[in-house]
Amino acid sequence: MDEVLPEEFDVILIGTGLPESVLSGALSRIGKNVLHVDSNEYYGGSWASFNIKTFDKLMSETQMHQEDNSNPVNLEALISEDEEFLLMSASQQNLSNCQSYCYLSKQPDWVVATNVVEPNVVAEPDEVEISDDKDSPVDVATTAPTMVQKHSDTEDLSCRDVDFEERNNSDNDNEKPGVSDKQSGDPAKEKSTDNDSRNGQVDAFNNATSEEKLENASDQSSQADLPHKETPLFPFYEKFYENWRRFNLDLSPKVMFSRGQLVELLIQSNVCRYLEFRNVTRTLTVLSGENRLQPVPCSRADVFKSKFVTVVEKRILMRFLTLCANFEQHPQEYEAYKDRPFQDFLQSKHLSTKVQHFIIHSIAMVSEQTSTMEGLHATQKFLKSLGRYGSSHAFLCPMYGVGELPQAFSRLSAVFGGTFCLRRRVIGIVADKTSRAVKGVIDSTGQKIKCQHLVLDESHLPDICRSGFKREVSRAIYVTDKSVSPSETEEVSLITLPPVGNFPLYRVIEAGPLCCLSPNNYYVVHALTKPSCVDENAIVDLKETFHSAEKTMFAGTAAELEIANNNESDKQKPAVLWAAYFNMMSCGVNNDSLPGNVYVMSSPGFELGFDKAMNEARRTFEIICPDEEFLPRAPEPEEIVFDDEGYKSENNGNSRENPNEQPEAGNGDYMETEEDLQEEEEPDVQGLIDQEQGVGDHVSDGNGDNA
Amino acid sequence: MADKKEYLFKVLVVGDLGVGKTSIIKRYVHQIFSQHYRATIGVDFALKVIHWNDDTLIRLQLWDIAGQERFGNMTRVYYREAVGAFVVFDVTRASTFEAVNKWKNDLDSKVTLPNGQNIPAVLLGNKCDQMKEGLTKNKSQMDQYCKEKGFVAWYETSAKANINVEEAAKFLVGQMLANDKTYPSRDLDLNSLDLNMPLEETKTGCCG
Repeated sequence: MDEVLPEEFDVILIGTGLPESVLSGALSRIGKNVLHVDSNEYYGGSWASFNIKTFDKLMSETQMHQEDNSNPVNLEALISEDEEFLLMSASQQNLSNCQSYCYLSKQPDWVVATNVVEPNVVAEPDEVEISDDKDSPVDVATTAPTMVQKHSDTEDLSCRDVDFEERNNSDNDNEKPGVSDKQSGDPAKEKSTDNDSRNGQVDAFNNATSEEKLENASDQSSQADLPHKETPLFPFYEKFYENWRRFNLDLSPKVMFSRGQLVELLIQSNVCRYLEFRNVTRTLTVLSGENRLQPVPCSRADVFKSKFVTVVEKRILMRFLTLCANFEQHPQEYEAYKDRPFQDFLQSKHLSTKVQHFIIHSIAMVSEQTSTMEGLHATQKFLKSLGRYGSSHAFLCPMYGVGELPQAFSRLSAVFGGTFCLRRRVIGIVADKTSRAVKGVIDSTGQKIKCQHLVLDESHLPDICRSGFKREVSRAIYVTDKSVSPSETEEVSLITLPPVGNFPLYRVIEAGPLCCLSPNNYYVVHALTKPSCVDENAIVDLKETFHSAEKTMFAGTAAELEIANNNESDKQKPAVLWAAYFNMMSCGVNNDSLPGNVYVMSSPGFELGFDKAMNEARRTFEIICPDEEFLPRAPEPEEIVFDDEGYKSENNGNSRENPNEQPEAGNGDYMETEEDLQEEEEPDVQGLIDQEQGVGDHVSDGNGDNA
Repeated sequence: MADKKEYLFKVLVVGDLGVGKTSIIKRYVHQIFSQHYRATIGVDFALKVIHWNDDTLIRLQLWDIAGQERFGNMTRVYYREAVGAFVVFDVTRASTFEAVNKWKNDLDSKVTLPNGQNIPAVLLGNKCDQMKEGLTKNKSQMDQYCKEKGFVAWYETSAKANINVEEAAKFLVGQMLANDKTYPSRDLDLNSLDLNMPLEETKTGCCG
């Protein structure tokens, strides 16, 4: 870990977050000699993703892991008279107020003592009851009510004891061959069970191993809504953590606009070959006064199919979105509202309150007060992304978490010769006293490394270049037992919860096994909000901050639900099995004290997408390497010609055209075309609308002209 | 031809700086050995197509450590979905053998097969042409070592003299083929998106 690094580089980058990594890849790609260091032992900085054990550790040790055990460096020997030294603070402080909770109970001793390793089966009374005839799902239903009765007559604990005895009896009958199998902990078997159950809504906590058991489990899960559920409803702590490696929890969850800069860059640079993606399959929101998540109709197909808007609303919404997709060509439509709030403009277009809500919160993702121009641009950005990778999808998310993105660009940088060194802390910057330009850095091993340019992430700024810390984003992460809005196939959801009362707006992303964010049957729910508190130093109870979002989305924590005789209405909602809360910090940059050849990359922030980070990386690249190409396509291994001298790239690969590639600026789902006009005049739709009431007076009929 | 089965195997080639990882790959894939060392620039992996038998075609991706990830800090991109590995050391340098354990542990902690087991790893003692006695003298010790550390086999190799490179690869491919049958292949429906393949055609027929 303390290996000596080369003494000189063109560019040194500190921190392996996304903008630094993109820049690192771009610089190495064109032949710059790059050193990329990170004091952490992982890639990604504030953009990283972690498995659940590492996340727990991170939450409990954020102060500790800043600890510096290295020997003091003798600076005097390293700094000459015409140089000055800018000290970097030892702590990064990019997270604060960290806490994580697991709401699952530990496996009781008696489970272990009696060699019953299948805890959920043990205390599942109906399971015991039906063991004589477990192939009959009908039995589950008929025995269930009696069990409920029993449960309500007894306290939880005593109930467990009864179950336990029954369990012992059935064990003697040797009814469950799968159970002892489980004990051997055969990982192969366990995994295949996971795979098999992947597509179904199989009971999350049925850990059956044998084929027979699995079928039985599926049968039962189909009865899951019946009021027969008994304690424990949830897996034990130990069971939950068994698959700890299969969680990928983001510090900074984000989604990619299908036509955002990141997607274009991934294609252009061919870095996309390192990554896998999924569509965000639905957009949800909560309408004011309601407590239920509803799908937001976004694409044409959605709008037509939606049950939540009337035919008239559909017609107006379609017209409006078609206008937004090409609003620049119809200035007369919005001229009068240019400097007024977006909401006023929406009202002028006769959009209903509900539809206004959809547009403001879930499509444009702005606030009521946003200016009309900003709102139009935001709506257009969304619409352009619609349909590129799926008819009604506008967003993509990287599989295995956002932390994959910086790693993919770091890999590109390494493949093109960049030197990477994790667990290496830079203690300060050496600058020229007269020119104020950075000459190099000194790391914690006391090595002085020279460079022409220095790139830092915000958290690595020298102390004197900072202007205070502030909470930038408040975060909560939940692991739940089912989706916040269960559906037949697994969904990836983007959810906006508008501000209610004293509670702020929450942005939520839910994904699960499909995106490889969690093991099967678990979901990961990321919630973000902007800290509202005026006093930056006040300790805010983050649980309180997210209270309103939790109430809307979840039935409660597993611990609460185990105790409470939970009511029926909440059965639909997921239980929180694990949660973490923290703040992402950001510090201001004091540009006056910053040497000219130092470039500071921002923290991930509240932005939903990645455009800001991409812009930052590109701008910095253009300053460091004017006239050079930013991330030209990296060749595929098949395109590399081999000769005696070694590997040699045939060309930079630009000649290889992809016939499928679309022109730069797509217009998405609402592109104005000839078909549009025809579509709008489709008799069935038109007929419906005419029936309801005559609309269209206020709608421009010239929309199709420019197609 | 129609029922010819095709496999794609990703194999990692790890080991300390200068043990001959790149040379082994060059020898195996291109049948060439080059005396002067050059860091591997701009290439993720070398591809070798193997006509295993009449019914089986194997595309073998050999992933070298990018020259400058030499501090062992490879990204997850490197490990992901690998199904086999060569851990290489230089028989003339003891320190590179001491590092073998570190590399093996690193592999086992960063990547597993879909069934949860460690990926099969073959230990290669390279540059055996430069050693008079060779490792075979310590055969039983090496066997014991591999058993303890979880290597499926070891070979002494020479990329320069073309010794055992082909054999080692053949053995590992055999292991990977056998393993492949023990876990289900990835469900086609669950394939992820290819960013180079936009789905704009879905625009039609969405008005139903």
